[in-house]
Amino acid sequence: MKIKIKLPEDEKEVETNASKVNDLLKELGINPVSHLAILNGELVTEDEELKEGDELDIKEVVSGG
Amino acid sequence: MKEEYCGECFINLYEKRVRKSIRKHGMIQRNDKIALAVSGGKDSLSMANVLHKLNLDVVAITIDEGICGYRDNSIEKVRNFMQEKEIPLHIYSFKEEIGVTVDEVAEEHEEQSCSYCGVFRRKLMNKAARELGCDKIATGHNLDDEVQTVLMNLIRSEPQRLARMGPVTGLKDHGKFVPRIKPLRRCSEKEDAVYALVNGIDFDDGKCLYINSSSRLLTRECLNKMELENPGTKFSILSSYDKMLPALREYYRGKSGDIGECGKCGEPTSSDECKACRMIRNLI
Repeated sequence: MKIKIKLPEDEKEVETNASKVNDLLKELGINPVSHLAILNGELVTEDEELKEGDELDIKEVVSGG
Repeated sequence: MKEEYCGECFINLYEKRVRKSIRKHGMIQRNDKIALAVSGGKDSLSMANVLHKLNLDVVAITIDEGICGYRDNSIEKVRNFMQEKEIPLHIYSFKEEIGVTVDEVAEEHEEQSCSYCGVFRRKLMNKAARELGCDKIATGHNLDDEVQTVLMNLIRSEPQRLARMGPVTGLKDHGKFVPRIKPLRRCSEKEDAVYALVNGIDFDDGKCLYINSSSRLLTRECLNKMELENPGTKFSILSSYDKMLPALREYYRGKSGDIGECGKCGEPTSSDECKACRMIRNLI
């Protein structure tokens, strides 16, 4: 299935077999410990299931300094 | 099944953990006046939100280090938050109190700007809190900050620093020294962000232009990888540190000198001249 993902410095559409947010993050090499997942505009946990056409916004949790 | 965050449950769990930390470490005594050290980021505004809900006697202090394009944005967020919660806000600026901004320091000493900024900020926060009659300074330091600092002090072989940090800072008392407390030390950086988001807190997520602590970034990345492989790693490190802290304090209390006052500015220090005044002298 195709998922549209938005990263801090990139926006792309990926073809994936990942069934959950966590699996997709793993595929992309992104650590869920330091990232928030916003699926179709809603803050979700990594256990959230994915479906065709979803839009996933991945935000890194950072401290200002 | 929808796995979105249940806002109410998350808020309850988070706030319960903060209250437990405060109680466990005796961070706040009855009738304490608390200075909320706020920058406008997710951590400090989440901390301010929880302490405000506890109906404590609080004032907010923001330090304006003079970093154009960074601090001006976050101060606006602080102003809006404090206005909404009706918490008095006091802004102290480096330019007025120290005589120099971080932008000016960075012109000649960009690589050390974080060191200058940290020392000046701690000095000014202590002075501000004392002037406002506060008994404690509450900061937004989270689990990640605390565990990173523990590891970095071990890696740099500076165990005496481990004795000074902790849930309530300071090795020895002094009338001019206002202890700092860390109510969020058992909440992760990510949980602070989630708490701010589910509460609709408008926080600043900008990064300081001068951030250059590569060793902290490396420690952070390593810890996050370990946490992913072994969930609970950060809590384990913090719990182990907490168990060692009383012994560390006892040992280094006997070795450190008495706290006196800086001959130049009168702020508490263990030598004749405080570190901030020494740094200012180097800038001239």
